[in-house]
Amino acid sequence: MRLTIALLLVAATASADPCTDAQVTPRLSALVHARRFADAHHAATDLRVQCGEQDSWRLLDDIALLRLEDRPYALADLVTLHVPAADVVLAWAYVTNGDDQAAHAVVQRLPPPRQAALLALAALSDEDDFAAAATRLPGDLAPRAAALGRRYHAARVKSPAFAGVLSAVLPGSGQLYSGSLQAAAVTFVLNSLFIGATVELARDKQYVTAAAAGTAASFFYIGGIINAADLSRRRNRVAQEPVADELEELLVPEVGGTLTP
Amino acid sequence: MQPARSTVVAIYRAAGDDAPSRCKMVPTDSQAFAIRGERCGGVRAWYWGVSRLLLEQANSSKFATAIRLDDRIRWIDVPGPCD
Repeated sequence: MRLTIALLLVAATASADPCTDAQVTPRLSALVHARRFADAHHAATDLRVQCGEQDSWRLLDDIALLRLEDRPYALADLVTLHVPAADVVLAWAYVTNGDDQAAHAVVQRLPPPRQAALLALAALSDEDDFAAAATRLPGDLAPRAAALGRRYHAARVKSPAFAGVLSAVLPGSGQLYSGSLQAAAVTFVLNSLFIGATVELARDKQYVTAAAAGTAASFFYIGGIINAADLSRRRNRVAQEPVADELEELLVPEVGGTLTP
Repeated sequence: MQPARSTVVAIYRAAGDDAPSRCKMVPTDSQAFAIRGERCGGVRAWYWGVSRLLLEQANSSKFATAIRLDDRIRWIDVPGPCD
């Protein structure tokens, strides 16, 4: 009886051992796919500490870290990782960060279909460039990517430059255009107070105090313009993000946690 | 712009790191200011600091992604490139 219980315990322990459990990597992959990047990173770290290094865990950990904006460590690790998917992830990391030279160098090492996919992704910010790049994609990827590209650009609802100009003309109006009444009100009130104070102090010939108020006013004025453009950019990004994710999943499934596309 | 290395700054940072932040943003405004100061210089960090405070006023799911941290909803705004 004791022996049976001991054997059962050993069997249970063996099946629960993450180092030998074949389902661990797919589960880790599923965490990345579900965009639970912090959980994926912690799970991968635990596995790497308990079981030693394994390329697929390292790669998934690096993807999670890149998504969590911890770029330096992830990039340094990806460079030393010798699996085909690592180059794709590395190229994607450079492309999405706008590091064209590094992206070009890594993309050259990939097979032509993957090159086409990454070059299309790199051209996403420009509608015409993306449409041209999408035609070079293999098979049925081309029409699907082109359709998603059109949806991506149609989702852009605000012009950051226009928001900035509006806020320069009348502080707060750019925020209103971008869709935030609260930020518009705060910007308008702060600018009115500081610009008004600067003018009043200058009229009273209190030039030193006026200069101090003017300096503060300039920060709120320029900060308001930056904020108006930033809010518009954010509004666009939030609207475009679901389509961008679909496009990424289509063109570079590795970064969604799919290691064998 | 590097903050002055003094005991006062060290104490402020130690206390700030240990105490749960009440800031609605992740990273907090002061952390974002320090990151931008290092990356982009002091003047631009100030402009972006004002912009960040206004973003905090504006924040909703229209502009940023929310996460639950320390049992509170926080808005993610990782400082990007300097332009």
